[in-house]
Amino acid sequence: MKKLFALVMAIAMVLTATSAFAAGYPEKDITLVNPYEAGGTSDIPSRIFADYISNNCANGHLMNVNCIGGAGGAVGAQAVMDSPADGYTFLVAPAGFAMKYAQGTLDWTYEAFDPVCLYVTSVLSIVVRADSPYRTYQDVVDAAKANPGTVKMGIATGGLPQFSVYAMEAHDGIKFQTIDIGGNTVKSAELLAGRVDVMIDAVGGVQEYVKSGDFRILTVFSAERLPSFPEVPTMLEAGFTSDEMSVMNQVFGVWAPKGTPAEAIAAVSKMFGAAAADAGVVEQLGAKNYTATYMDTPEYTEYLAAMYTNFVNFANEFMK
Amino acid sequence: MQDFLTAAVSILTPEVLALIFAGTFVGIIFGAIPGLNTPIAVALLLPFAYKLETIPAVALLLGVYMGGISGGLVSAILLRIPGTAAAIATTFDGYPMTRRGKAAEALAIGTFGSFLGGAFSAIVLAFLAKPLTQIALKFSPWDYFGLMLFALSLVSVLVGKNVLKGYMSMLIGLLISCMGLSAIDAMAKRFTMGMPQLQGGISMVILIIGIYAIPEILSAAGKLNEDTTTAEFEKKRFYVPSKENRGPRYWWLWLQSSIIGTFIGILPGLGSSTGAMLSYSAAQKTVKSEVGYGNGCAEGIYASEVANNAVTGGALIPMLSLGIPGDSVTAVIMAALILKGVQVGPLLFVTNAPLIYQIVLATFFANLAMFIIQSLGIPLFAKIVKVPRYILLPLIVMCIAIGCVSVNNRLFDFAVVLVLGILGYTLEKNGYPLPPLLLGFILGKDMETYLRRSLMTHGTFGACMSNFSVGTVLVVVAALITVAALVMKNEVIANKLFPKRAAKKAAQGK
Repeated sequence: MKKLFALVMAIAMVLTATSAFAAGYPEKDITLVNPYEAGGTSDIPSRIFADYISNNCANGHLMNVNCIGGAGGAVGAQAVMDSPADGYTFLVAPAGFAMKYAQGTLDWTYEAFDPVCLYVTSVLSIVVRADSPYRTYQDVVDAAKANPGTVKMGIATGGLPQFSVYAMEAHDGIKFQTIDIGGNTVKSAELLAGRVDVMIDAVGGVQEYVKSGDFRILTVFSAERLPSFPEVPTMLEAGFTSDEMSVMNQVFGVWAPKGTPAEAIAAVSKMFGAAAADAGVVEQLGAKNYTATYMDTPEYTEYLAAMYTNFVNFANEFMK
Repeated sequence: MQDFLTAAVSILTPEVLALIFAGTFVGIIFGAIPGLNTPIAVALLLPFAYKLETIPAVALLLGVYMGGISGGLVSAILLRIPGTAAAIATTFDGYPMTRRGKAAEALAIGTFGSFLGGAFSAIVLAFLAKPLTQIALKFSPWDYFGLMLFALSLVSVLVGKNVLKGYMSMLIGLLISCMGLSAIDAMAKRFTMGMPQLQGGISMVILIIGIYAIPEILSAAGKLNEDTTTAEFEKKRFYVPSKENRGPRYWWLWLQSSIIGTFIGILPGLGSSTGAMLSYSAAQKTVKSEVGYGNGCAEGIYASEVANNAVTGGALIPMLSLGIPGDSVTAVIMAALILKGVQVGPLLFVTNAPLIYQIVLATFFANLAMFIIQSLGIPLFAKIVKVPRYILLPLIVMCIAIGCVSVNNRLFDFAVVLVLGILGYTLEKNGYPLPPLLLGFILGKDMETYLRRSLMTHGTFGACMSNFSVGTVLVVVAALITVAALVMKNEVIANKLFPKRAAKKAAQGK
């Protein structure tokens, strides 16, 4: 009797395992791991997407954003790497991972995961306090030239802004006094209190302070001017080439643990595609200065290959 | 006033009040069970909260927050195992009171104190949010470093009998906090012993379980047959502290603890455990106790519980006015607000004043709910003490196992808990106080970050010290406390410095 029971159980388990994707994915809640603090620049767009997906395309199941911060994203990434590749755990992957690999602080690339899709891009900006003497990017460069190493530049160490600083220093032959102001939401307070002179952060992270009249954006790191700040010039206008700019673009993609079933990857990629095409999502993202940019799996994988090459070349050239 | 009335109307609906009560109830349960904690409760309720409107969602989460901070006192008082980090200082006097057979009284004092602290900080949030934001802004990384160093010195000196052992325990905590990738740059892997699982360091839940719960269970296992406690208490429906333990003579202690808690709250990252321990240390020095601190006095429980709930209102201030969450729970509340289209930050007070009042009121009612639920629950909680230990302890071990696996979904953490448990047991048995270790661990990583940021700004440690600021003063005071404590404990030097006192002591001795 016991043997029979065990046999039935075993058959039942095999059947449920094989039918997991046939019966219609997803069959339970999906976890999207954001490897940074809650409320930060990667968290907000991820939650907007997860919200849409939970409501519209997950068979009544939910996509939950789980924040596992620490070590510049390495802890969350490790957690996803260690998760079962069952199609229910995914990782928010920022461009910062490529940067860390180029610097030698991460020993894995996107190849340790299965890339799913790219879903959102955001634009970095150079910001000063409203009462700062600097009115243009050139003012900052002039000040840094006149007194090398004294202009206090606030950056998130190990994040994209760090590479932007390297690129600026190399391009204009200047030197900043770089001060870490954290990768999370504390940044604005440091500029507000005047402990740094200039700061690099995503437009979405500082625009509330611009509206309140506390901050001023000097320049944005994008190819074209932003619709929400048409008066702010771009770095391209400041004389940077698009190659130099390639290490300053913030892109967020989704990665899955290596070996995740192709059906699940295709389904999740489709979900993000649907969300990125939704007018409500686009509007919500736009209000916070993010852009819904969808790339499917093959296109995103190619994009990642090029991005990693760019970062590695850049690091070899400027960081010796 | 208009705003306040609008806010009151939207909060005082059956739906919102029911959600506050439900949230608080869940928070208390998760706070009270060692191994489960508020972040886990919030994570479980989050999908549900996102489906609600802004105000009900925030009300629910605030309930969990308040309940969770307060619920930790139950196991701290009854078992000497803090349910959450916030309740570490509650064990100092709460458990001794239980041992004296006054479990229900201790729980009532803790609950009442929690309510006072929480209500105080809600009122501060309502009226002083703006000026306090300015204080939070003025605090530079160097000031944070100074404050943390000060807190560590104070707790190492005051908790425990031997100053040197206190410091050694604190330093072990600092070393444990170094584990994993280095702060700021993540360039160095420290003490990972080649194990990738240790790269993220050790999480707080794991450390508290390992250092507090396991040693307590181990030592209890050695005396299973001992008569535990005779928990005598009157049969009442609703427990409030007895007259001698709630009189107006405590007003200064309440006020002092509330202010310390709220102040620590407005500084992101320090947390309720720091607030409670600082408040306890301050009480030891400024408020006399007849029973004596550490022997189960009401003053000790009040100092800890008033302060840790006062932290909550304080922590909401930088979250709302600067968009800086003070801890993991406020971070989730903030994320919920942002998703609902509320822009936290400098403009919130201008564009969405009613929301501030709604949050203030929700905070207040969550504290009231906590007071009512916990007071009603005291007879139930107190019965835990009567459960035979050979039944109770295995159950706790099971909760712990579930809790520590749920942190990162891996069994590895349970091995870490066992190793830490042996460390904690050894330290405890040899007279090393554990609270300094925990505080060292809690503040260690941030302290390093703030020190390195100060060094990036000023260049050298000397330059940091030579710039006159709150931080410099606190670093100097921390150094003075250390030196003074070591000198006073050394009898030879102390007798030479204070011959009169030595003579008095000698006379007393005879």
